[in-house]
Amino acid sequence: MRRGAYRWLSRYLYEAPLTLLFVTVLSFVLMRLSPISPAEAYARRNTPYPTAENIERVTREMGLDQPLIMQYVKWLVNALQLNFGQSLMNGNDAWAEFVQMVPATLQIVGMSVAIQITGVLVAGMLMYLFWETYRGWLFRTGAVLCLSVPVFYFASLYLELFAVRLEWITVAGGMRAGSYIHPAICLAIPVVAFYGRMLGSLLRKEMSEDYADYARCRGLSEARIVWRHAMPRAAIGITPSFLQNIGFTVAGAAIVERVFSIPGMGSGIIDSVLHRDSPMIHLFVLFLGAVFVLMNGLSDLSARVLGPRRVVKEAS
Amino acid sequence: MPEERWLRYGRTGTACLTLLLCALSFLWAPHDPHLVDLSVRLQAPGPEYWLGTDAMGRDVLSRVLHGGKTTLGIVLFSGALIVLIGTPLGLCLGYWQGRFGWIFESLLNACTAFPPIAYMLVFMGAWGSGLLPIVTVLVLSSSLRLLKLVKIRTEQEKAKAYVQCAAACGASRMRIMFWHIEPNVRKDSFIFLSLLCADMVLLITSFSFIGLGPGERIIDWGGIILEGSEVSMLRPDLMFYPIVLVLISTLAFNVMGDDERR
Repeated sequence: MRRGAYRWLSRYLYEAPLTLLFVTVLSFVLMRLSPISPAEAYARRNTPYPTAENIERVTREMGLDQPLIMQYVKWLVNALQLNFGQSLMNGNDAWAEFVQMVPATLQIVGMSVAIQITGVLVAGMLMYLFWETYRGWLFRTGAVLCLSVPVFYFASLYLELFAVRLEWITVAGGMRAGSYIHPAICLAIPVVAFYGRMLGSLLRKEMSEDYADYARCRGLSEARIVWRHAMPRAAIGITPSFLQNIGFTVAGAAIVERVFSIPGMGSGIIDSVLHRDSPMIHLFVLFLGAVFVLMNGLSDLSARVLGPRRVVKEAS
Repeated sequence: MPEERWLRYGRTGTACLTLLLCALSFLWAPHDPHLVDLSVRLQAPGPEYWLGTDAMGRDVLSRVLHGGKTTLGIVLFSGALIVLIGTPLGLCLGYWQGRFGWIFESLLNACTAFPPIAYMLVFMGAWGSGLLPIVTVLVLSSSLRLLKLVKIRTEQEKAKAYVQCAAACGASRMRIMFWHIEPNVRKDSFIFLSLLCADMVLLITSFSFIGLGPGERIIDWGGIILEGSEVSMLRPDLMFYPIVLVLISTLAFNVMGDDERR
């Protein structure tokens, strides 16, 4: 066991930086291969009709005339000192801009994950209880339907219903923490549908196992068997995949924040993509990469820690 | 049970037919989807324009049908490319494990650590939006994921007795890979691919909705939803038609995947 843990850790420690390197190199190479150079886009935004000299000057200022490998190494050295250059959109320091956007997104994602966990437990239990009846069929069909609708439509519907028709919530200028609950709910819907269905079927499988029958023979109540015995096992089954999915929630926040017009990181990503703001894009790519590497690592770790023990096999 | 099998074939067939119908219905679109006629702006559904007209006086039905051509066309084309790239490479990488196999494995793990949506953001940041970046991103990111799945499955299959029996009978490596192992990997990759396709529909639509669509003159469902959302106070139903088609096609892909899994 101990040996395997070391091997896993060393593997993770060498694969995580490799992954981050890969993704930053990818974004650099793509920028270079791009049909429209960032320098030209920058010059075009600042002067209506840029001359060739203008563009050339901007290219030299941004260091784009140097070979790609030099640019990358320079960026990497600066990045290790948290210097990511200046945003091309407004000339501010990229790192400062980024730090400003993070809290909103983290709050949304955090709330969304809390809602997801509660929702998955409730939905899974409901699906298990009603699996055989027509209600169970309704729940399952509803879950597939929820998975088949893009999240931004939930967000638009939500806004249309609660903000425009019922006027329960205000979204314009909604900088307060309380208003982040709405995008969090929208982000959670497909996740709850997906994992709820999975949890329901896992619970069903667990409750037909032998140990559940023994527990019934011992006279334990059905509720106790479900919550104390079946639920932990079923939950362990979906935890690794669920943890990995949190990374998807961060990426998905990009689109939902856009609909709710929240000045978070998601909107920041889309804005910088729309404006070809290469320093910001590199920074966001690095951040997304870090989030995914972290979540994949946590998912692996949880699978190792919680997963089926192979003690007997290894001891023999 | 034969009845159950026929039921399954029926469901999968219906799903395929629905997808083809959604993708090819632009052939009998009643009007030119680009034709702007400002005298008939935002008309309610009627005999002339079955689903009414949008803010520019264009026929909504024709636009929705042409949108299906773009969105599902991208998805089906990318899906075909993904299979053509991912399956053979996965089989080869899984079967031939040389001394440098670990390099490929690390690279593959690094590449597949990110979901398609992250690739989409990177590519669009560099290349802008357009038909070519979208197809490139989808094919690249998804075929790597399929490649990984096929590789892992091939490694599992390789250890089984039938492979050794085939090798003992003198079957060449190519024959073992593509004739013996491939059919056993096919089911899993089909399930994975159908779920990938469902995700791709949602991804294309979502990105087009936030303004990173396939292009100016190209109609797709996300773009129609975006235009509909701008006039949703006057005609809330304009957003609804493309969403229904997105729902139907994603559902069809999900059903195909679910059916194969049983």
